Amino acid sequence: MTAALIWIFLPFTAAIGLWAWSRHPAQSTRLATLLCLFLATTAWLIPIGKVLRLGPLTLEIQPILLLAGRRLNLTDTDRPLLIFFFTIAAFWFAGAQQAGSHRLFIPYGLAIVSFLVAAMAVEPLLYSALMIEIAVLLSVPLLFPPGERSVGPGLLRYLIFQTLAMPFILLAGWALDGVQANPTDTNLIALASLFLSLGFAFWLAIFPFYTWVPLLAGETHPYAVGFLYLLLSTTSLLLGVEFINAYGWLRNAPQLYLFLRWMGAIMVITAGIWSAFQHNVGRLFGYALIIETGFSLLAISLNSRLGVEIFTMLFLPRVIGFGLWALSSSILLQAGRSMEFQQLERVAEKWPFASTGLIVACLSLAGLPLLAHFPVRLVLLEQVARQSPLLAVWVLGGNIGFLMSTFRLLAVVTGGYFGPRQPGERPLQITLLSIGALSLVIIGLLPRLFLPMFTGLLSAFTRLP
Amino acid sequence: MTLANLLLLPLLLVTISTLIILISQNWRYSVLALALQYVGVFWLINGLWPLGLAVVKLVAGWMACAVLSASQPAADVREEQTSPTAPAFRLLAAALALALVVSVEPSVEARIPVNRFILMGGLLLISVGWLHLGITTRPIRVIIGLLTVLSGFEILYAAVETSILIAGLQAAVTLGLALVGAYLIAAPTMEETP
Repeated sequence: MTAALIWIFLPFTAAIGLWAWSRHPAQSTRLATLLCLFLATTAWLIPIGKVLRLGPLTLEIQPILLLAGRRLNLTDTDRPLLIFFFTIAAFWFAGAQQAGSHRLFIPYGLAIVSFLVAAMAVEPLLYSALMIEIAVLLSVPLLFPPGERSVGPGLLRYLIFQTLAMPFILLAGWALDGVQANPTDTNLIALASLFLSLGFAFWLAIFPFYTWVPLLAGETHPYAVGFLYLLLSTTSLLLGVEFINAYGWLRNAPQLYLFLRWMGAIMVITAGIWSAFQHNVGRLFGYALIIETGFSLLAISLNSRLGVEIFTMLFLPRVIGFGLWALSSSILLQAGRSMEFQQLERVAEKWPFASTGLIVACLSLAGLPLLAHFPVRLVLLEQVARQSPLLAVWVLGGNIGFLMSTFRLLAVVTGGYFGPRQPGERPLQITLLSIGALSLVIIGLLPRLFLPMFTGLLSAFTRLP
Repeated sequence: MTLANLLLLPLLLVTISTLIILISQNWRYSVLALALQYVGVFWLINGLWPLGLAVVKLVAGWMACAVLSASQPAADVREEQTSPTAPAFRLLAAALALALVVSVEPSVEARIPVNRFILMGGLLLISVGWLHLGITTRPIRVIIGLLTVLSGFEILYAAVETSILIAGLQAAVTLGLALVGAYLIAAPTMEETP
């Protein structure tokens, strides 16, 4: 048995089965959640490429699957990645019903996860561009489910930008092979750098290609867009780190880290400033997504062990923060409210838990002290300030822009009055929202207990500092 | 004389079909021009790849055209009313893109040493397809624009890579894009959102 069969082909086959079973959303949600938890647990317990003896039985999972002359390679060092991907999927699938997601969210979501895992596993690395493109195409029914009235500009831009990334990454693969063969060819190095930069800029929605993010977040279901952006950006970021890990000339180029630092800072600053003027929670969510990617780029740009550790430690608060935000705003949407601030006036009276969840997620993403994002952001800003103090001040300014918008949202949803009314949320929704909000507080209070768990992701990247 | 030796003809075919796609406001002409464009793409790639492999591009492209045609509502032939000067503006923009292609082609040829008509065909499709993406917001035209850009890229990439798996996956992406286009057109009438 090979690892690719278990963690790529099994979820994809299950996705096809769940698609046929999608008229029964409750069962398919449970099945998908259980399958993802099973796959995450399997990755946690069973080593890859080593013989495991269970009494008289022996079990060995082979790391490599050959497919048309190419390899799907999932080694023992990739296990943290597998645990991470399938735990995220289980986490989002578990809340899908309470968030009122479309019945196709589960099958398409599972298929997307399997293609993204394939993108991480495929060798040569450039084939991941095609895998991600297929995942992007599969995501369209998730963002624009049957019955929606019209296609918005955000979805079309998302499709255009993500599709345009593929040719650049493939061409970068060709140029990188040329550089490996002839490391002194500076023109080819410049060409490879250009193709890689453009490919990743499209993939990660790096400035100036991020306009689709707030547009898409404002026009589609927050739960679907949160799930998709989280997975796509995580995969692209990890692939970026894998490229840096794989190519020595790239790893040792100081210009790369300068470029990443400036791009990350510009993303945080511009998105922070724009978010201060938003009147739509969906678009605000989009800007939060951009700010998070910006902070990840800043962490990689540090070019140190601490930098890559911060990069991985950003994942846990991000997953919980996005999940809580998406669930809270989905519950408010289900209640017949739109995402416009005008429509959210005093919603805390009727939906206190969803409003609290939304505000706590916002405050955490804004980096407020005692919440989950704060400890990592603090260390990151300290490190950035050591290399470039002025840039750190600007980044802090961008963050304050987002914080101002959060305070405005707080004023809107509370309206300064809480009446003695029954909450509008269902008990399970209250439980999920409370768990999410408490998690952000507990992680913020005890960061050393939770955040270092994610540094295991670095085991796949052996050549990083 | 083989098909591969007559590379000026497919370049002309690709140029004319791309211009029709850019200025046409009738989806039937656009899809027909796209089908013709795939003939040109196949012909140009045949100058680099064996016939059996190059024909994959043609088959995938024509299937994409068929999918896009089948998804269109029959009544809505003319897409939108534009000003009479719009086609002239688009032709002018295409001329600028063509000038860019002519100026860039020698430096690309230095890096990818294949027949210049093949390179020009690829670069032309990329630039005019990109132009098309910049001036439209209709789903079918966005999909056609993306297919045009990807066709151009496939021509260039065929000069540096001959992997069967890549060709197969690129064909899957072409078909996938067409299916997404068809879905975006049909989804509003498919079923209610629960």
